[in-house]
Amino acid sequence: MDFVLLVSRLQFAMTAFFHFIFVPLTLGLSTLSALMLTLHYATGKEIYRDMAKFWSKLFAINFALGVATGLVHEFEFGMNWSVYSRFVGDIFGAPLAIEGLLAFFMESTFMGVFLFGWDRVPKAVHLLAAWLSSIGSNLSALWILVANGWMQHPTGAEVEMAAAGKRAVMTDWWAVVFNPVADVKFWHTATAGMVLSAIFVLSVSAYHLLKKQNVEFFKKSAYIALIFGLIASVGEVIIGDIHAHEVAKTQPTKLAAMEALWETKEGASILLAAWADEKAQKNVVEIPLPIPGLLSFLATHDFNGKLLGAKELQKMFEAKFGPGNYIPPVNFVFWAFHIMVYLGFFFVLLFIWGLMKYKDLENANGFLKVALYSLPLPYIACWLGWATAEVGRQPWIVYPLTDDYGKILMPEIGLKTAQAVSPLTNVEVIITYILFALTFTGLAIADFYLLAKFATKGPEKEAELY
Amino acid sequence: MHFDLQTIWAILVTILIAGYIVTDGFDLGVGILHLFVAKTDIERRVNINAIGPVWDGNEVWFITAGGAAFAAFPELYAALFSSLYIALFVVLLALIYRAVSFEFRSKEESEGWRKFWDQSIFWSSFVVALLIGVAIGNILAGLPIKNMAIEGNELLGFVYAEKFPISFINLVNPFTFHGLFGILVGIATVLFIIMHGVSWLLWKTEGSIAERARNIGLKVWLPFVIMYVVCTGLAYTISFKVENPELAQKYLQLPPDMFKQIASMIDSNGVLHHALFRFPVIELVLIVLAALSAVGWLLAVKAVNGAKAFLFSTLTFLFAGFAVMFGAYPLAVPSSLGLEHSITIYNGASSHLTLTVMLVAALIFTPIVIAYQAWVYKMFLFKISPESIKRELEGAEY
Repeated sequence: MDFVLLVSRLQFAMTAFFHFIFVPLTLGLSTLSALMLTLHYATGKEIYRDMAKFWSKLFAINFALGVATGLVHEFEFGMNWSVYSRFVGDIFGAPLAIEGLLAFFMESTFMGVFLFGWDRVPKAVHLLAAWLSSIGSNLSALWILVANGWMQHPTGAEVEMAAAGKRAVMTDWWAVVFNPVADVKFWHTATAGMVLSAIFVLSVSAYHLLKKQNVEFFKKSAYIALIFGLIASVGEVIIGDIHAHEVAKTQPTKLAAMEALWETKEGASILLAAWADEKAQKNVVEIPLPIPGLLSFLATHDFNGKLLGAKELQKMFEAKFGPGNYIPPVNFVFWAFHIMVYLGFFFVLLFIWGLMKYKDLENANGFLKVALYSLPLPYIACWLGWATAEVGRQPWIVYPLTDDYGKILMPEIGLKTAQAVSPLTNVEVIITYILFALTFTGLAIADFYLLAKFATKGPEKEAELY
Repeated sequence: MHFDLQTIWAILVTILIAGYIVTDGFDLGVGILHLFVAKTDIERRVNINAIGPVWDGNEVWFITAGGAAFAAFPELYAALFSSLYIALFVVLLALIYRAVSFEFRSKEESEGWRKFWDQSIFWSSFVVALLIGVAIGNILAGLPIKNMAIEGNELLGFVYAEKFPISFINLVNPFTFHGLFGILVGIATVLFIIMHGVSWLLWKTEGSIAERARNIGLKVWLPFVIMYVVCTGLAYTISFKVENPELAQKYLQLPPDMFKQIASMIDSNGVLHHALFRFPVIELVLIVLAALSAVGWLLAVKAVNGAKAFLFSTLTFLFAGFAVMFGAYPLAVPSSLGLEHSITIYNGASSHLTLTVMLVAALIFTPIVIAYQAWVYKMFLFKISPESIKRELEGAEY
């Protein structure tokens, strides 16, 4: 692989990885804080006010780096992927611009009011600000996923020859916004943020309950997190199933890699574990789930549904696009996807377990320990989800548009990742890669240090000041 | 001037960039002034809290301007950010450090920690202000970009043609005109940003910080005016060569009458003189208005009237900024390799449908954003001082 391409890909993956340490917590914790503030204003109980204060402080520490890494993300398209940017800007740029105009302004402006407005602004305004900030966060997720959904399934567009070369142009705005892939991605991501934030609150609460500090405060926090988390995690599993179904329809090569499916099969069953020999195009190890046809059912809603295997897809793509490898790295995608799914089920069980133990939570040491050490798991699940989505679409940066049965409708809109990279020099990309890596790592460590410091401190009297 | 979608979008993107400079500009100014107006720990906290509730919302103007450029002028966005690769990278790095500096600084007691982030606030703000100016200066003077479609490539678009290992060196090379011009515009931008920061501090704080800010403001005014005049004078000398008028007509995609008007100004050697002053009357009016606003600012600072000072520094930038936009119109990124390789607001723009959809969104939401941001500002425009912050820290109550 060409050096500039390789480093650009690594850099984008790294930015996504860091950005997604901070984003999901922003999505969910903004909602949870607003919920606690609502409880305070509704019941008049001070404890909910303290809760909203405590959790929103952690939220603020986390938010700054979310913005900083997101900034890099937006401009990396133009910096490292200029050919991609000019090719798709007509469609892809619009949701990004609207994201700024509609969502980011709302989120950050009202967050200022929420965090600094205690006792300064009228209660109704303060509460409204908390909710607007949370809605703004989630709206930003909607628009960025409209953009990402379009890369996976480029609806509402055609290709034309313009003054500076070939490009995709929009033919139908609503087809871009209501792209089925994009919309299901949004729900999948929003619920992921909620699950992650619920586990974050639960885990921090478990830490304090294990130490028997502020028991009432953290028991109540944990209760809110458990209810919120259970609803979100069950929703996540259901939406995840719908999502996989969309992938089966629109990105057959991704589905084949996700399920390590080499041969075209009717009534395919799900593999619990597999290891593929990618050169020989077959699985060395296979441990199927003993429910025949389940995979076909999940993907096509028919137990005898036909699923195209990677071998046949490779031949079909070669016939359309010429020689090349059209199958993403199977083992990587298979395991990223499967571990994510297993974690998803684990989260549902964790919340159910917590609710069963709730009456005497401060003494349920077994559960509290598991909850505490589960903190990294939702983060890992989020990263694996993105790895599945983005590695799974390789070699494409814009996946050729298919119909609902995985048949390619518009080959000319497909753009390969290798074609999309900017004409940069090796020195340029390596400088930015190393410095971003060092910066992100250093700041993430500082951020975790502060988060840990304030999370373990408990709710104390402090002024809302920088 | 034509009043078509592309022109409206050129104005809108200019408004978004101006929105960034007017809002986040004073945050940058407060950041640059951080080490000079605030000496004690409490004063530094005052300084950061002067922008505390608003800087985050202000930075969104940058993100939105970038997104709007991406959506409305994808060729410009792609070419500019890959050409100014290292420069933009440094800006992003600085913006990252600035964001976390505000957030992290007061969260630890240790003196070393706070000193480090104080330095970081100054340097990151300074670098962002400087490099935005350097980039604007270089773009106006013409970047060595090539339209690869002319060379027969279907995908690459506009590409930066002078590949050193690092293209950044060219941008700040004082031995070339565009490098020198870039540096001068960069310095002028930093001086303006300091002025704007002074305006805000006079408006939002009282006591020791406001006093020091006023003194600095009185000192930077004259250098700013001199730099503005120098940059404007140099901008008047900028000219572009046209290697091949036929290609220019084909690839710039200007409306025919607009192209005729520009072509009529190209001399027999194929040079377009005073390229940024093709509408001298409008230009002159805007430049004079910018200068008058700067004078108004000086009077307001002398009278310690923060609100007035803020109004005048805002007007100074708006007039100067629109003078730049009109001057370049219809060019977005002129090419120093021949005008036919330039990005214009026509050949760089998105399709009509995209521009229309985006225009509807912008017309609905931009006023709403400005309205609620103004409302939030009003809420947070109470004066703070070292004494008031002390009181808040001591009397912190849940």
